[in-house]
Amino acid sequence: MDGAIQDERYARAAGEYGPALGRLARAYEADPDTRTDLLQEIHLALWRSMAAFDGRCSLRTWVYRVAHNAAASHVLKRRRARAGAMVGLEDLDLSDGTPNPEQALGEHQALQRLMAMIRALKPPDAQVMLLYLEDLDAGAIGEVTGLSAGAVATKIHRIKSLLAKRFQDRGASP
Amino acid sequence: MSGPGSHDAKTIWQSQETEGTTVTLEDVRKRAARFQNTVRNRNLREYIASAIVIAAFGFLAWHMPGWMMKLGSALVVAATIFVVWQLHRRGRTQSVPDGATVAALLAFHRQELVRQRDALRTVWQWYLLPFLPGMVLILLGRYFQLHAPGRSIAVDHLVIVFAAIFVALVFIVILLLNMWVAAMLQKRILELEQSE
Repeated sequence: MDGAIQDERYARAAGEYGPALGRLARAYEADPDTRTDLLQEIHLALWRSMAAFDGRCSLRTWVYRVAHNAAASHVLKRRRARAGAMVGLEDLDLSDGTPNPEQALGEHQALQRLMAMIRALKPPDAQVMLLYLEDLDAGAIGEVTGLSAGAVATKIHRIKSLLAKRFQDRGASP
Repeated sequence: MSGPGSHDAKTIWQSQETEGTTVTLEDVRKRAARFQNTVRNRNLREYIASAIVIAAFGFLAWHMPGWMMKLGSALVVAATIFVVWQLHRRGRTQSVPDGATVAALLAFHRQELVRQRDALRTVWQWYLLPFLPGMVLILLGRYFQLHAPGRSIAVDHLVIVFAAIFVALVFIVILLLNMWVAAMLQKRILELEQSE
């Protein structure tokens, strides 16, 4: 493929989804220095992948697949350095960090709790949760993750329930 | 401060401030070049080390007295070429297709780790065993066909026995190190299975 076309496609993808990629890196990596490294790794994977992008799926689906793969690879490499095991959505402990009804969470706190939830999840579940937070619908999440519509629906149901319980969040519904 | 009661999780998520880190095309190109250089330098080091071994034992095969040491050195050269080929074949990493799903990526990572683990577990077959005939012949040739000047035969033989013990210890250490790394990989494989 012509390198100029690859560059042009990358520039378009980075321009359109750059903020989402930044949030993705932030979700997967807590350490600021390592996060910068991860973000560059994601962009490198995206640029490389643009040589193989054939338009059989949408640019958004492609970008999210490539970016999540780079992030998941990073998580797997760093896993041994992290304390605690990753869990699935169904095993995420709700007993810790659930605010009482009178307690209003600030946005910063709410964001930190979202981050903590995502970082505790196994990569496939973390991916579904991030895509949900990025406001992709179930069909688009299925396309990115390769999960069946039923599996996505089950996971989204669980995510909504988790968010509602953790944040007493009326807005957790779509 | 307004909390999630007035902003849903999606809004909070999407309106978060990310650090002002921007990645330019130039940054990406530099990183790609750095990665390619690392791989190229690693390959270059391996090939230079192999070339030195081949040249040294090739020289011995040509100049050493006695057929045992000549043949032993030639066998070491052949073993080195065989091992380089094996390293090249076994070390060649497949890459996960661009645009694959995370589930496919995890399966791919697991498959790669299993492949590496199996290569390490069988290192005695494809890495150590090929060198054994050559090393044994060189030591036997040194014992029976060549004696160092200015040294009694008894002392000379003792030196050769110590050399043989040293070679055996090196083989054992290489074997144990590879078994240890294979056990670490097995642990990572189990961890990865729990991530899927």
